[in-house]
Amino acid sequence: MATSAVTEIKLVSNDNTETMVDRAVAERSMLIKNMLDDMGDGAFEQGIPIPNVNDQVLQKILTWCKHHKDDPPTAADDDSDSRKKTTDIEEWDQKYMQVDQEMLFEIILAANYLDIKPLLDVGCKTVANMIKGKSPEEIRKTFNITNDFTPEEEEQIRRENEWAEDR
Amino acid sequence: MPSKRRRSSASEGISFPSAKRARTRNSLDHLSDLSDELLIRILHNVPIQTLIKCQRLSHRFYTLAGDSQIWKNLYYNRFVLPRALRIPGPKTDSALHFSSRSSKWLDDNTLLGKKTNWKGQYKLRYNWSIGACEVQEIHVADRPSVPSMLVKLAEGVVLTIDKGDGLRAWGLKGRELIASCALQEDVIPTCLAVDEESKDHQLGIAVGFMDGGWGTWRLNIVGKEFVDVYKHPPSSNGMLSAVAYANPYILTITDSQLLSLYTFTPAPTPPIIDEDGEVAGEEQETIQGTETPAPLDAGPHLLASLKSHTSWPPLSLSIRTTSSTIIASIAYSLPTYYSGYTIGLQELHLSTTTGTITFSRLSSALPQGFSSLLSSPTPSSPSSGASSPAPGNRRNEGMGSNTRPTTLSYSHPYILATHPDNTLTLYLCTSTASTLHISPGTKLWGHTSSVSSAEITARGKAVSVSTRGNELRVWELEGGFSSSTPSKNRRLNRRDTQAGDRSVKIRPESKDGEIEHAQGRSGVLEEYSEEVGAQKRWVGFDDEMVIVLKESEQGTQALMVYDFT
Repeated sequence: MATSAVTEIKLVSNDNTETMVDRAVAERSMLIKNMLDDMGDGAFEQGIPIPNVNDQVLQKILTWCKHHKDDPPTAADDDSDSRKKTTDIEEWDQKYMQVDQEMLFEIILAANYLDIKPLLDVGCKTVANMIKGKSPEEIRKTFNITNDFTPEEEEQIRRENEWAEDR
Repeated sequence: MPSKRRRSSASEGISFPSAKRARTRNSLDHLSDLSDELLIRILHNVPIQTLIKCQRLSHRFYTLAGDSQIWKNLYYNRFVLPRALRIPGPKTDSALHFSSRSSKWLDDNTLLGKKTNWKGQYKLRYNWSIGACEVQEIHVADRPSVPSMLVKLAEGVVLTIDKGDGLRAWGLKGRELIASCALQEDVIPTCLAVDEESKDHQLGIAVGFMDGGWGTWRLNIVGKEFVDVYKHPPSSNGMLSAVAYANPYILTITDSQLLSLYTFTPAPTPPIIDEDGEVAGEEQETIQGTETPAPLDAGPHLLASLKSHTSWPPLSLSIRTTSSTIIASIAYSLPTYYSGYTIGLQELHLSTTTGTITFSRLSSALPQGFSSLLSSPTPSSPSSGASSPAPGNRRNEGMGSNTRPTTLSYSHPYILATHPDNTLTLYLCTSTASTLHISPGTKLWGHTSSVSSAEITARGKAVSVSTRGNELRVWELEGGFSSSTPSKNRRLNRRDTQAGDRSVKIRPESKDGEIEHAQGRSGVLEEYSEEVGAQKRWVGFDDEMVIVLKESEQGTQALMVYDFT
């Protein structure tokens, strides 16, 4: 283990903007953490390139990482329902997620790419909350989803699922 | 690779069927940009009502929201986890939250490992829990049978037998007769049992007759034919009133309470011999020599026979086999002095290696309303408990005298008795190597007329039917057992008052209900009236369906199929 632990990491977004962050903050990303662990600290003096994420999104992601840098590490078992059953989101995260849809999905994609599970979960829950309780037409409108069913097909699916409606 | 569907910003609010697929930055459908994996992750967080709405969004969402992993998770959280939490014992929170690798699935794990349609399974369980089903009727006879027709359900096949039409098998998938075979001229069937260990689409069937004889058949479900296996000659001991079959063992009891256990195996089967270290030293081992010589197809021989003086009908026979023992049990009703009837259970333990009775034991449930001086008084009446044991406090709640059961259904560890006074009584047996114990009965309310038949499975799911009226109830009885004894089994104390809430009345779906009535008017049952005319005689069920044998006033008989899928 390198004792001369580098405490600051340079991240380079896809628009070539460089950002210095605390190592602890950057390591909220399992991708970055694994890179550092595997390659050794010296390997990234030029900075770690984050090719899929632009600077605006990266700054947003780092804001989250800074706020959550002291959180306990998440369980390794991705499969288990650490997402719990609720769609409760803590208050800070709720505020954090008050962004436009484009940014919201950029955050989800970036969190997925950077492998930041808790942030990904917050993002997914936020989207889930936007879907919940809406009619199909409202959901389509919210997300501009194209309906590629014929009315007959849609009616058939509605009937197929009738059993699970309101209880 | 997910298909990407987009429209341009100009199309907002208007539906353009030819969605633009070009990757333009002003596309607004950011949601569909996400990979399938991420969308499923999102859908994991929405409730079922939303999930089914998402299926209507588009073809892609139809597939994603129907994803088996999501439904498996929902199934687990709704149907498996609540049961897992009821089992007393150390619980680690993590082990009980859904994970496809480490979850506890209890006996639902038969569904795992296969390609299970989890949405379908969820729907099935859900329909059971609310009593929703479709009803269809299979007409089986134009006239009443004397004695009444006997019915059993196994492996999606309903078996019926009566004097006139003989042994018949009805397939439930196609709602049709799949096989039949006539009986001999003058025999009258009095009891019917299906081999509890049937497999590979072969059903073993045992029938007992009025003349004391019995016979076995094998139904080949795929080949749709009955094969006559064995006929036991009539016996002077009288009519057989119950039979149980667990290949190779047959247990019969006559009207005069003579119990007989037969086996088709001439000698102990090889794998069982390995276990005989456990029973070595049993004194009866010498008898083995006298029993072995019969060749395999030479028919059964009598293993044990005994006369019971205490077993009054209705009774229910069952055979359980473990590696070293065969346990033959009789559940029967038992009159008591002041509280009417209770039930008793006799167990015969036989060694599988020697085929001889190692011991026999009896137990009976305490009559309801009876509180012994030894047991602690009910908490609500600490003063009366010690001084006046007989009319326990529970009497006031209507637990008083117990009418004679009309039927008993015994599926270890549960015994379910039906009563003419609109109630059922549930008993729980604890059978260990050293003790046999039956808990005091728990009354189950819910029916509004006399309960004519009920069936319970070892998992504690039961279906009961009222003689008159179209009343079927589904009970989930596991875990809801109130008992004053220290619990060895999985049960938690719940208040008795909850008993009434544990059942769900089956309500056929409305449109099918109409069809059913329409059939009633136009079909054979001219004056058929659900409420008055029909008598429900027997009920049985499997994972997907409930079957009721119904006899109308005109005497026509039909099987009602309640389909929960």
